[in-house]
Amino acid sequence: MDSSKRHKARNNSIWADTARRIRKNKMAMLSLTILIILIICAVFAKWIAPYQYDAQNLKEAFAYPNWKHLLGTDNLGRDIFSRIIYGGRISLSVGLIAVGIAVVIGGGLGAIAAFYTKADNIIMRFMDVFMAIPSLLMAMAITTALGSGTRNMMIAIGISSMPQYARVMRASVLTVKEQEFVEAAKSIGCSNKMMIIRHILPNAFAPLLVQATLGVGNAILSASTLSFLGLGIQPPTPEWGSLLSTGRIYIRQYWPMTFFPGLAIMLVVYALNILGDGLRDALDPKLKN
Amino acid sequence: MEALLEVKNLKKYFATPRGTLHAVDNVSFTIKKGQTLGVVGESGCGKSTLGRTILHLLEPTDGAILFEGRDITKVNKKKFHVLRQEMQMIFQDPFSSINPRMTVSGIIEEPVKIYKMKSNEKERREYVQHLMRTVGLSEDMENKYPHEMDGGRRQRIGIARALALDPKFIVCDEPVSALDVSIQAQILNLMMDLQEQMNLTFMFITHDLSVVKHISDEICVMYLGMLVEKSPSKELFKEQYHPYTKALLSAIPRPKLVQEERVILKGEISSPINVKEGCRFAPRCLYCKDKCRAETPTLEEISPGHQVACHYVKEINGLT
Amino acid sequence: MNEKLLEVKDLVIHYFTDDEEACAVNGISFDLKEQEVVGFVGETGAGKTTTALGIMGLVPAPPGKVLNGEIIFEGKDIVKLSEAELRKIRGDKITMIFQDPMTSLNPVLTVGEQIAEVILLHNKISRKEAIERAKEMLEMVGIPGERHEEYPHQFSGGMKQRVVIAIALACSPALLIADEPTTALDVTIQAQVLALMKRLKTDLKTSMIMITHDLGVVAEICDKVAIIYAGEIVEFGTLAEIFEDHRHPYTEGLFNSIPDLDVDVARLPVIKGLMPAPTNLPDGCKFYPRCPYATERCKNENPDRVTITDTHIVRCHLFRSAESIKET
Repeated sequence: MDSSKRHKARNNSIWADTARRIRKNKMAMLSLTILIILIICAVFAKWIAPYQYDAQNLKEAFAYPNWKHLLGTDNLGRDIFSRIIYGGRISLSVGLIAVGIAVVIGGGLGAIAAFYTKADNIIMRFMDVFMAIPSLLMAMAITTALGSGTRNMMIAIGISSMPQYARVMRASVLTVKEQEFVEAAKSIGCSNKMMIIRHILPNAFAPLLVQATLGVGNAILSASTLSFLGLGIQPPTPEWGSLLSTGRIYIRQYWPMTFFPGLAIMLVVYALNILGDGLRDALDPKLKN
Repeated sequence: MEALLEVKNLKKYFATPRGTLHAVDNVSFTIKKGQTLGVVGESGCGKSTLGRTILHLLEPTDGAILFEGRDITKVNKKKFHVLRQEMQMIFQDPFSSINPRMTVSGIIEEPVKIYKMKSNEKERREYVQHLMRTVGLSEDMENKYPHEMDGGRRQRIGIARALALDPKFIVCDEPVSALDVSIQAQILNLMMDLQEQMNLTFMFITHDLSVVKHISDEICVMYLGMLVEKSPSKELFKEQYHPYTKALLSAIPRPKLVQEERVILKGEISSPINVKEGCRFAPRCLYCKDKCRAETPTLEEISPGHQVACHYVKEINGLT
Repeated sequence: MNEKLLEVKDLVIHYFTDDEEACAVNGISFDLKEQEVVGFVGETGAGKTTTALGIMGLVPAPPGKVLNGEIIFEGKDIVKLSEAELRKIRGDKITMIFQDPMTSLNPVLTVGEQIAEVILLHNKISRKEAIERAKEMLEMVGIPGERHEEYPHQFSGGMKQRVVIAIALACSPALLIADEPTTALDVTIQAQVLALMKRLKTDLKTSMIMITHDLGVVAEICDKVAIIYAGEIVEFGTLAEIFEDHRHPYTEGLFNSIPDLDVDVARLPVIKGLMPAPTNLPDGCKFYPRCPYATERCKNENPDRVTITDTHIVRCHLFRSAESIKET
């Protein structure tokens, strides 16, 4: 390899290395594939779903999985498979975006609190107030104030789960901050901004990532609770959480209504979790092999 | 030879819940251009705080720091940013002092990027490679991560990073104490070579007297935030006047078959919080008298260049 | 004085990870007589601590594995003992002190309780008696007995290490393994702890293995010295033999690279290069890449142990047996 090529490889080495390392992790790649498939299904639901999500056929209600209805039908004879695919639209976007909001705002505030000692008390006491209110009540309060609807629900769930991310991030940054390489960065004239971006965050985000992957499942379920209370998505628009809760009534007599939406949620949470772990390891050069 | 760094009555106090912690108290010294000052003391004596205060990594409480004759004590952040190019630091722990997520070349080129020392990519890379050669790292290590290297090599990365800005003055905070003996010698030799080649001035902080002996021109011994003895290096090893320096030197286990009689100190270093008037070393001193507990001794010259802070230095050493 | 307490024969311990094999200990043999103190000297990663863990039966498995060798302690082979049998020996007959006194004590138990705990584990006595014994132990290491009700954080570093020593000696072990017991301490405190260990050595007649990288500490306390390099003992002998008459080039290099307080030199002599990684050891003599006297033979053939005197053993091609040395 001539030197200019090698040099180029060096420049984007962090991302190239990460990509190379995660490609080696079979479980992470499998998880990524599952997630991508689920997202594609949700986006192209119109073409993929065999039925309309609200097409009722009372004659075929409570049908067990068969060739016509792959995953069976529900109490109103609607195709469960189609409803799950359409439901993914809302559930996946609520899960991912709400957690995204929580991670960005909460993580950001946590990092600032840990880095600037003066802001610490203000930010963290504010977070404590947030934490003292049960997150569901909080989300309800926010949706009531903003009005129902998918977007407002994402904001509500994101904000109500923000304090835990702030806590995790703050603790993590506080430990990294004390390490000598941060002081070394200061001694070579690194600005605060550079110090946070280049030295502190990359070494502090791992616990946040794990927390976030677990948070997605919670966010999906919170969304269903809000919908159940009439503050989120209104029936008949399907959404995994509400599919689960309507199915709950019939769980003794007819299992597919709870089993398959539950499976979908589990699949997403598992996949995100494994992918998150894989990403964390891939970003850590110490675990290169 | 002119003085590069002059420290006058430097104080660094920390406010703690239990009271004021006197980390550095009234410390004064000068370092001449191209020379090395060794600062020796046990853990908790304030030697690392002293180095960090001089480099503005910590704000001084009181006193003055003069660099090339210019008072830099109260210089604002922006102006000090320029000064940092001249004053660098090498850290103790080769494991925690470099970012584990950056490659070797990334670590070394960071200061070069921050100060925009090289205009283009190619020059910068050549410069980094030059630095790596200077500290004895082979060029094919540029893409390696720190964890793939041993302590000695990591410390070389730290040295290269400090050298990158072409500084005049480097504070070395225990740069070899985490390394094995055979590696220690390699790093010490490298530092002495670099000093000669680049006309560097060092402040060498350590707890190990045997390490500073080789590298220092002058040595300061610190105890609980204060200087207790200051002397040209060669003289200090021939003649120590302060009871603490005597004990410190005597406590080093020598690799010799016939062992000399030891001075073993009682107790341990006392708390630097809310220190009272009086000699800081009094509670452990074999020769402590009433005056030692009442009055803080100051550095006084015993022989040319050799200063000691002890009320009874003449009596203890049989001097007239 | 001449009873053999511990006999280690050709001990091999490797660590296995997914794709690598780290050869930590590669055929270490030595004897330890009663009341003797042996110093293990070597650099980080030389296999000193792994050998000690092997003797304690504490090699973490997996990834560690004792591949070969015998460790005969009081007539029994430690390698073959069951975990239950080992537990009876550990803490009673063989004890170990670790490097960092700050982390080897439990912060929520008083020091008295921690000492008594060990005594109760291995003796059938009442709690009250055990606490009395604990007080005696504290007095022995120079801490007033009344302080047994205090917690570790109320003690300074040097005092904590004394408590750790008291715990280790609580059951009057036959063998004490000290892994860098003074490295984390300041010089003046190190001097105090070394003086204490020296006193205990004569008072209690315990055999000791002292792991250290500091030849000064060795000179202070050891009777015999093992110089360890890349998992092998490259030289073994009495203190006098190692300090005055060392034969192995590595031992020579070690002595040279210590800054001498009494002599002025401009540059320190160094051993060039680095110790090979235990995952990638050279064939032949492990030291040849760094050895100033290396020959073609050193590169290809690992030297056997050469006996120079009854007590002095060296592992180097450049030295032949005692007879041939006398002849030349």
